[in-house]
Amino acid sequence: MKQTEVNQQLHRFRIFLAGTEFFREPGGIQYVNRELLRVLAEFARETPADVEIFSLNDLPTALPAEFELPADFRWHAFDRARVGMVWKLERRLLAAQPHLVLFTHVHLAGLAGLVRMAAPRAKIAVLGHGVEVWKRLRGQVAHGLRQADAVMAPSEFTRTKMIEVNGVRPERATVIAHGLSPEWVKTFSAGERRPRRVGTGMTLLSVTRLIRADVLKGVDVVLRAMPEILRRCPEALYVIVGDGNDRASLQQLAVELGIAGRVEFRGELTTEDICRAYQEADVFVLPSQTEGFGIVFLEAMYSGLPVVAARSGGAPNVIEDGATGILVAPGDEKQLAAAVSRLLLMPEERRKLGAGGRRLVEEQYLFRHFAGRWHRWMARVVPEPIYLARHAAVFAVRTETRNSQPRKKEQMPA
Amino acid sequence: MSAEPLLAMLREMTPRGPDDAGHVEVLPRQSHGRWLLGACRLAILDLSMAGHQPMHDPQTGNWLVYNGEIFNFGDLRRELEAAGCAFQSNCDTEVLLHGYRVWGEDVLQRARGMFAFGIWDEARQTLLLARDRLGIKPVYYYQHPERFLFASELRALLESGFVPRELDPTGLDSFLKFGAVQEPATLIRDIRLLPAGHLLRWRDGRIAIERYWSLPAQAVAANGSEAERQRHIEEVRESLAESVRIRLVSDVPLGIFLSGGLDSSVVAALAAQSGNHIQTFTINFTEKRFAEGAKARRVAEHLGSEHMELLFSQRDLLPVLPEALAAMDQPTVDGINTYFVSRLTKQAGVTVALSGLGGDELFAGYRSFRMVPRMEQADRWMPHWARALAGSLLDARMFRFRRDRKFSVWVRREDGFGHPFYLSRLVLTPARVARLFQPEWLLAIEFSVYEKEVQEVQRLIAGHDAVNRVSCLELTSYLRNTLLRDTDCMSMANSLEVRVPLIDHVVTEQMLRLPGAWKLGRQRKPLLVAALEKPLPADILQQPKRGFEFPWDFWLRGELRGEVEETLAEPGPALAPMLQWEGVRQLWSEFLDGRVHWSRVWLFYVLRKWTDRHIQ
Repeated sequence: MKQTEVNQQLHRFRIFLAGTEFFREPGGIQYVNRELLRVLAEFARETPADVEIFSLNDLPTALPAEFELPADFRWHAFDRARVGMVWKLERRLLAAQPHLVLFTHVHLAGLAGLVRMAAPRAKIAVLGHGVEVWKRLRGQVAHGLRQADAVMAPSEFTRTKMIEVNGVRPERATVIAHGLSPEWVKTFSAGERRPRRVGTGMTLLSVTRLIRADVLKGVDVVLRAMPEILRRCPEALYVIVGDGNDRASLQQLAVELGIAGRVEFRGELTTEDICRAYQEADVFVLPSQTEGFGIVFLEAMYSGLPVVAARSGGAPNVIEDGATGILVAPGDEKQLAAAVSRLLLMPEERRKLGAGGRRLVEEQYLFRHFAGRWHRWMARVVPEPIYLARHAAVFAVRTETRNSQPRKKEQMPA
Repeated sequence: MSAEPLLAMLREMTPRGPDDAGHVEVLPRQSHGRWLLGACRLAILDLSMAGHQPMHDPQTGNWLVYNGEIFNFGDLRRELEAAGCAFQSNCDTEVLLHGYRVWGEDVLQRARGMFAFGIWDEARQTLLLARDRLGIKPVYYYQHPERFLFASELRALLESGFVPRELDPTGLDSFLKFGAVQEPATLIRDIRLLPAGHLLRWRDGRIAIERYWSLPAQAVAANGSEAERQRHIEEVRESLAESVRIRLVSDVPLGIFLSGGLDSSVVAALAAQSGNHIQTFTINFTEKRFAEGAKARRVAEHLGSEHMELLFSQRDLLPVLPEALAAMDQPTVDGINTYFVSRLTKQAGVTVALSGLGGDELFAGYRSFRMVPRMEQADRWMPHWARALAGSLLDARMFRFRRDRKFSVWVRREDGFGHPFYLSRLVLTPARVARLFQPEWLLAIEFSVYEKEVQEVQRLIAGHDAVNRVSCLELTSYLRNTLLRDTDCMSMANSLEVRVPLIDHVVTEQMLRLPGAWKLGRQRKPLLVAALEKPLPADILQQPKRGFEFPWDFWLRGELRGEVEETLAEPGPALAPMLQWEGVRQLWSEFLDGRVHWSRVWLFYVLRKWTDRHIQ
């Protein structure tokens, strides 16, 4: 290796990003993983960086066409072959000696020991999401999580759980809240320019997967609250966007409750159609008990909908009760019915909370806020020589392209 | 505090008791407050001052105010005399007071009749309120941290000046749905009606409400043999005869309403059977097209009673309508006919009248006894998907089926009552009522206030067969909240006491223990007919079901149209913040097009008149 190459390598920040899944199925974790890819792409524009991505579940074939990844990012995918992933990761660790290994799912934290052995100088970070880190973890995974140099959580609730339940040291745990993806915002805004179809003023919306394992998503609670809601709002209509193996039994529940005519299961929709569903709805409702954060809450708030959610999990960290939505006791259909009826019947209050939600997202939860939070965190991890080099580069880039868009000062969650 | 509020309450209730009135101040032992008890009396037994109320028990210091009649007071009195009580009067009031001293609250288990009373128990420093088992006599109460008020009429509580005259959305909701406010809700916030078969204890500012009687939970299994059936019919006959006989006791003139229908004919026949000389009354229109007095005349001839036909014309009736509306304690869609019948009867010189009310409920006379079991069966067998399919078919435009039709509501199960029976008694569908309310008031409705009773009844009826289930539901809903309450309020407004021998708890318990299948047959009400020793003429027995109804539809399109139209044009200050009045105007035009029943617009006319009078 020539000295210049070595120097170049020395002055590049090497990041391994290992996740369970980025593209294969819809879902909150995949969404966040993709956002992270984008953050790293942006980061790599300013700081010389080598990024390698390891995905356990995705197919090794090319990435989706609509997703642009910088050409120098290396993509390894293993189609659910664990052994293959471990083998590959170990070899790459030995060869590249990364500065930072970022596990985007706690189940991968079990590999922390491997990282320590193969690349002793690497900093290990683990990203927790929600319910998977609220319960007490065991064995390798727990050990790996405690070993990690940094642990991120999307909400204060998840952070606290990781500290209290899983013994993560508080100084190592950080909150990095999610943000809305720029594509989504673009699709939504394109839809907003279309003339809005006039709704009844009585449409409830849930956007969620209907997976039997996710029984605590609370769609059944909304269904059970519907008869009570219909007593006060006979025109109320409940629209459910999303699909999964629990759909049939939820449909059956709707029929049993005698409200099948007032519930629409729309199935899985394209982003355009989801955006339209948001635009045509009047109240967003998802009394889920398993949200670590709840990206859909951001989408709903950005759409100007008041959100009714359960006072459980990360939801209270995202939704301000009385300012952007209403929080109800988890699993309590009476309270839910009261809150929803109230919003359906009081257009003024609906507008007030909806506007509050939009403002909140625009101030704190857009992609640029999310990226900013990550950039600030990574700035602390980047080794000093690279950091200095980065500043020289950044100065050059900034003067050329970025003075048109001044950055707003933003709040960093504790 | 002077006694003035109490006097105002008594003045309001003067028609209920024009013969005597009194009040007393009672000082509780350990508190700074005091009780003012007052009563006005319609003297029926022992017309002397010995029956004066509030009545004092010098032995215990208890005080009693009491409305109603305990018909087995003679038996109770003998028991009490055997236990050493000495009586000053021939009144059932005194029997109740001594009975309470001797038996405590168990006196309620022994008393047979219609009553609502309040007793100040000096020893326990408790006020006890109680209401008869089936809800014939009402008692309303108002609970406030500083005072507790109770009275036989809601209006009396308002007259006290202590109760804010504010409408209760829950009561209003139930009124719009059923045409009568469902207990324990009332149209005034914070006033409640003590539910039938319940007692209330007030002590140190806290109240506790307790049920002391409920309908029998289960029918007695019968093997269905003819001999057993005969034995049971014999028992029903005996208790029916007894029930009528004890209700003939009176020191003032007593008559029997005789419409010519089966129920009143049976009551009259049972009264004649007891050997008393009886007087019967019939109300008849002079207009030929509504006249229906012939049947009653034939029954009266058959029984040999002293029969009076009270004739009146529609023209006499309409001018008296405002008076009838003014007599309503709470608005009701029914009840005007009872007012006129009571008025004419009272004018004929009678103070006590027997009515055949309750025959349909106990002896399976209503159409609901055939309809509701079928609906229940459909509920059981119709798969959910069939319901959903039917619901969406009804939704389809091509059927032009309106969503607020009861059938549609039933198919969709949109009523929220959990039993199809309640649909049969709906005036406006729940969805229609919801659309009528202003949003903020819609949110303030507490359905559970009156649905708790509905749910309790449904638990109770689970052990009964289909026919008896309907009986229980009728007894606890329409009879209690509409028929009995209207009867009490409208007859008492004319200082007339109406007794309902078929609504007797002994008869009711007995009837509900018989298999429902015995109550339906080719003949109408076979058990009621079989209970007579001397059969009635065949044409009386076979006549179809028909109520005594005024031609409201005809009037609302004719003579009353201008007045009703003018009244329904505006909601008035009390209803304006609560209801979206365009819905009412729309109902009126739908009525004029012949698309809705008269009761749906009459409902609002009555409501508007009542709020104008009592809220502002």
